[in-house]
Amino acid sequence: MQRYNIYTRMFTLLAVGMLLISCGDEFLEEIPDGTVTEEEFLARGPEDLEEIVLSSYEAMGFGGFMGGGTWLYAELMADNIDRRSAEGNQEWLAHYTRTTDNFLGTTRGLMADGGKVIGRANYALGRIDDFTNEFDGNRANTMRGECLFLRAVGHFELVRMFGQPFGFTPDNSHMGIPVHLAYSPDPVDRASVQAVYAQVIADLQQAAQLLPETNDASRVPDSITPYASFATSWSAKGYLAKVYFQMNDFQNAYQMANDVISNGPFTFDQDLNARFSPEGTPEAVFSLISTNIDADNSGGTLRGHYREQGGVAAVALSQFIYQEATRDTSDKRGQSWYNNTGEFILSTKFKDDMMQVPLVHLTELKLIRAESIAEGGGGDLSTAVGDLNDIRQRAGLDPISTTASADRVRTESREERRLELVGEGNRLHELKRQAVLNNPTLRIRGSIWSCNGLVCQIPDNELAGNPNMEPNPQGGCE
Amino acid sequence: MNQFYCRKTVWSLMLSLLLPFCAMAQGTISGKVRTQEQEPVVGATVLVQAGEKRLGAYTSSDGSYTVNSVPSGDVTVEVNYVGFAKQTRVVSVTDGKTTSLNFSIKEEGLTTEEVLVVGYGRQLKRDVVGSIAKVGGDQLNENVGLSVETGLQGKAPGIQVVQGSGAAGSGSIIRVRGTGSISSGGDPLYIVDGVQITQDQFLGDGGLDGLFPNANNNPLASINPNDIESIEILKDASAAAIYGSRGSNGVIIITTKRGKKGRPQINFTSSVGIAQPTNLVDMLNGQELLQVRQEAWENDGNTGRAPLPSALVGAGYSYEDVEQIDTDWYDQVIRTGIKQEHSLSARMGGEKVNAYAGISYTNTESYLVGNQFERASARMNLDFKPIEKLDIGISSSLANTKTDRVRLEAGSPFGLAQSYALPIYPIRDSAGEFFDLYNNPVAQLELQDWMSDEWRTLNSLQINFRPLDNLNINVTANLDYIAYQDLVTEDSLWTTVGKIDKIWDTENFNWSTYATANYDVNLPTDKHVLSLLGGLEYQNSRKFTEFQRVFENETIPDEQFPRNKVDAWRFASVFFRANYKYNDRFLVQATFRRDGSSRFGPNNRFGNFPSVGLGYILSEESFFKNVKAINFLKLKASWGVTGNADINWTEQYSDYSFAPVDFPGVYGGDTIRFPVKLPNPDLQWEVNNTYDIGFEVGFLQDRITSEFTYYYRRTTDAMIRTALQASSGIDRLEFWQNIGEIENWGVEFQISSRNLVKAFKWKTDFNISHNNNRVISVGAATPDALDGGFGDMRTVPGEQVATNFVIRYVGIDPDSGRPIYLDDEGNETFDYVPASNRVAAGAGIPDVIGGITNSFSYRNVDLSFLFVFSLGGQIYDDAAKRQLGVVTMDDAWNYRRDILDRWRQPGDDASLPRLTTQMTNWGGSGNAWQNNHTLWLEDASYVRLRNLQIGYNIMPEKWKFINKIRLTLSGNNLITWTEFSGADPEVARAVSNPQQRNIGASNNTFLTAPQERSYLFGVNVDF
Repeated sequence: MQRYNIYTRMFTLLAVGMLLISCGDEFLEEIPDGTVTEEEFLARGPEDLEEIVLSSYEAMGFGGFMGGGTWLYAELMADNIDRRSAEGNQEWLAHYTRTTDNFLGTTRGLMADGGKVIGRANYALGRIDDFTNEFDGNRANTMRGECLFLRAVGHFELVRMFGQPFGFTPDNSHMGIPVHLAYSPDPVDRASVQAVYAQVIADLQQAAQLLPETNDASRVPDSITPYASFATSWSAKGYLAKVYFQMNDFQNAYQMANDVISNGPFTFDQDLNARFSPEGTPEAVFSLISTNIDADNSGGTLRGHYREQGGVAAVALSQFIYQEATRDTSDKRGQSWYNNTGEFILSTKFKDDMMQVPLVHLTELKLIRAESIAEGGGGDLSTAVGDLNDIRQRAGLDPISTTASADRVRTESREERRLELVGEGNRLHELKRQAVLNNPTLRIRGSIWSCNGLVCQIPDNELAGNPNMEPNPQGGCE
Repeated sequence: MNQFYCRKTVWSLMLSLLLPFCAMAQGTISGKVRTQEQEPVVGATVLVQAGEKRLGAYTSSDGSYTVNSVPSGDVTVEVNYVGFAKQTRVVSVTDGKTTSLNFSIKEEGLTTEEVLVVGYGRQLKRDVVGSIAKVGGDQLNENVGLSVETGLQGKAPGIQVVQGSGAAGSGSIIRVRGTGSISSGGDPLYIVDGVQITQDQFLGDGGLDGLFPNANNNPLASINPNDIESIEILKDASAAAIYGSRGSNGVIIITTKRGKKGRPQINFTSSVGIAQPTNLVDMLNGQELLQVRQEAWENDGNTGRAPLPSALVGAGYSYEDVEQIDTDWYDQVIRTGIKQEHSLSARMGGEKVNAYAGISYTNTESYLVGNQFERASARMNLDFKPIEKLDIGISSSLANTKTDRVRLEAGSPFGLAQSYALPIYPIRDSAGEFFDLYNNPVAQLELQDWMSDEWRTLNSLQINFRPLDNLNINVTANLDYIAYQDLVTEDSLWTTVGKIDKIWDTENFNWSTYATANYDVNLPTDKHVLSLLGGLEYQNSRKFTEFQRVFENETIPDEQFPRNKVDAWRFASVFFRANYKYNDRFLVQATFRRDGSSRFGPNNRFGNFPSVGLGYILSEESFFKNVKAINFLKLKASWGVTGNADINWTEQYSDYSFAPVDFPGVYGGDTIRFPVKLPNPDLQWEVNNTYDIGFEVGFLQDRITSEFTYYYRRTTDAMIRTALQASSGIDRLEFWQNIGEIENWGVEFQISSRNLVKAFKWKTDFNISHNNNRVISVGAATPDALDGGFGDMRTVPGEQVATNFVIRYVGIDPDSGRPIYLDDEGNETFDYVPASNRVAAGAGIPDVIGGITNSFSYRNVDLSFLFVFSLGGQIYDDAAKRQLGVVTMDDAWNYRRDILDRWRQPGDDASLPRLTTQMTNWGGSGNAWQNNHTLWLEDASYVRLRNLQIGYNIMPEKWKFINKIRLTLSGNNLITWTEFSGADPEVARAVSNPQQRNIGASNNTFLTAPQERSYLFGVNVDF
């Protein structure tokens, strides 16, 4: 009997225990400190979404992307950089020798940081509708516009690095990049370059409609002059001008550039050194911001690449560009943007610890407008000549004739672009654009413009996430 | 000698004074203890129990013993000898007479009373239906400063022990029956005296900025090997399923020594020795390096002298200066390490109290300059029986381990000596400053000091209550506490901002409690034996880290980072076991466990783990009695479900990042926030279905015993770290899912044979196992998502978990000297395109592993040696791509002497391509690091003379208080036979996560310090 009792008690104890651990399971939770649910993450609604949109801007300024990486890798692949700068860094050397493969930290950063611009914009964009009634005034639409703008810039800058240029195939069916329209872990295959550009244009056009003409005053600290640090309708149009120009769509490029130049609030800056400066420039149509508040600095990586230290810099410029820039000794750019140490040609364009980093500015738009006019995109040649002379006179050069031919305008425009945008990551894409337009035998530092290696290989952090991702072909840049 | 005897006499006198003298009626017992083969047994304990009085003696070199002053009357005499069954006899002693009593003792074997420790209990080996390997504490390989698990290598089938590098205190990688996990931890579960200990290989690795890779934490480093009674390895599901969701990678149960009834036994052991590297790759000297650089330079069409590396140019060295320099960097980073270990233990016991106490001190230098491991440990195991039905047991240990660390592999002194530190670099420049500071091994050793200090205490309190003869209730509470600190001190020359102390503190609390009830059911006849076990268990573990930087420079404020909870988990479980035996020959065991854990997502919080095992002792059958040669034969089979719960605790939760909580994030003056990852409430344990079939056999009264097992283990719901596309913009580019399937099947064979049993004894233990590992599915995860962290180690479906996913190299173009590869379709090409041309090209897991131990003894001398072997695996020599690859002018490396066998002119039959300064001439990118292909993939097979030991036993016959003195000379890793051209084919690398540990840690080497060869002298005294 006694035995039976113990038996029963034992069994009861075990049964109770089993029941206990089967019912409630809160006692089995170990939640990491600081873990929140999405509901808590977005508890303040629009205010939280604003912070998320800011994180997309922030990602745009990451060193791996538009804060420096994109510029440098494009320059390394083109003809503005001294080979010796690449020799000490095996990854840079891969860009320089046009032999990037899928295991590069540089391209991983490019893809991931560019992706974050897109992903965070998508995240916010996908949740604005949940809080429509809580936004002030037109702020919901402004935010939609900002997200679309950021996403478009992200896609545009990535497709230029990871795909052959627009026009490489007649129908642009060649491989571009995955187009992400939602914040989602689901794999997305590579879209054609045609499809990527179509999405970029659609996003920018919609952004241009949704965004107001000014969009910063309230968000920028008093110490900073708010030069287009947050997207406006002008930013979207300015980027559209860049996109259309890259596509050799001169009519649209002209219209967009002309709209911004003629109707926008931007003024042509006579200070040659203001573009990358702590104060910024009134030319900026869209600019990454640096406030130095809590190390908020969009230009740090850019400066790190070029800044001089004891007669050397991580990146030195090529003799080729230096001779081009100093051929005319009266060209102030040649004098003030270069430091010839005898051993190296160093850039002084990006010298400040804190720089505003304009991604679209009036100078570039004037170059787009001038060349688009010369290519028959619309407008008067005199406008084009005026644009070029603005730029030339600022540089201390003689104006060109007001009766210059379209050919002359085109030539001068390309020359000015070469000199003005040095170091800004434009050269590679510009040469490819020219090649697509009418120079199929164009060679970039010895290699045919269309060779595989002039496109970055898709990095493993992108390939690994989707078994259907196709890598780019490699090699062939002799 | 005279002096010796004299001292002994004095001691004996003193002892006899201390002993209670009794002049009552007394007699003497004397006799001999022999084996069944009539060989004298030397050093056996003879214990006489006469009423309250207890007396003892040891047998001398002819096996004889004498016990004087035995009270007359009936007394009990017990004989004990390690490895033999205890024998007890009752004899009558007459006053003033000598009673003669001889013993013939029988070796403990398969069929005798050997007991195995199993989950939550013990079982007779005879009755066990599961697959359990046992290695006694005295059978572990002896070495100084290597932790316990290394002693298992080659000792039991189915257990792969890959020893860590030559760094002091490094841990091993153990895999039981192959690898059944990919992204989650694949290590077996460690139980020490019933405690599921903290086994965190990554304890202390949190954010050691700039210092990775360092040795992973070794969870067994604090255990004194001399305290160990036995190690049991539970391999199949029938044995391991009682541990449920944590049993599927095997369970290693370590049991420490406890007090024994009888005369106090005191043991002192001391070993000293030296350590050297087993092997070093041969590097170029200064002249040779300059020649190699020159040849590469000219091969590329350049003229004039090859440029010197910028470090030399920048410091103003001319070519002529450089020609005078020839630094042997190995001399600066390698030494002969001194090792020592001393331990003292005592075992005693009586009716009420049994106690074991052990203390030890170990100090072992590796052959790496600046690297040392030190351990001081104390253990007390106490058993107390206040009343007849109650036992209280305490197991408690405290250990302090200090590791004077050096960095390992890339960027380490030893690594730099074979890479960035060129023989044409001076140690110091003419001004006495370190040359090329951050690539200078000597500078690193002098200016960066790194010490790890760990305190650990393992405690268990057990209360056993037997209300009835057949009911045993046990309640146990355990605590495993670790306080661990890394202290890195960097000199002002190193930091340029003054001296910095960086201090990482880690604290881990792991407590658990369980209660079991064991009930032997009384059945009507003895033909049926039924025993039931039920239990409840709860475990909770938390890990905290803290970091601070202390600047000597007062203008820089010290930084104190907050204490963080970096790991935490809980388990709650209920479990049952039933053992049924019919007619002493049919055995059935069924187990069931239900586990709930915080590591599983809320949608799958509880899992069930059943098992069934069957056994049939055929030799009990009457028809078998005629088979004289076979004295024991058991057939067994089992099936069961086990799990693996070694999952990162945070994976199920979403993660959002906020400024300023998580980072000082500001854009345009405003704080930012962003999503990091999505939640995953479905995460759960990995599921293993294991099938086992085998037999155990004993021949010639167990002179030969053998076991054979076949198993099939199918893992489903294996954790897969799928990658997300970088372009998705999700910050955390991984998402964990239970989507993998893996199979392991294999055979294990073991045989022990006492070949010669007379005066000259010879015993052979041999075991061999073959495991076949195959990944069936990983869902949509790509090979690059499942990377092993090193080289191109990946998991690829259809192949092994550890596979080299790499470009195939086929040879050198005889005309150009360029390397030729194969593309993905098998066509020859000069182009090196990893994005499209990599294929599964080599398997990292060996086909066959095993060991053979031969032990010989003759009178007082014994000799044993252990060969271990690992055959059929491949190793990727990750450093060879630089040490034998492109001759970079800047970012310069030194080269192995093997590079001299390079192609120079058409028709050359060389082993390496033409020298060049550009990776593009190898068909690849400009990046000299991207040079991974099968040229660096080699056969990792090896046979190693792991241990050779000669022992000499002294039995001082008149020196009563010393029972035995044993002197040993031993050598470890004396000879290695391998085709591998790198330093060491056996590697266990430091990694940063469990996936790398499964895939890439033991088949890939990168400037890894090879294992040590050691020579040791030991003294072991039994009092």
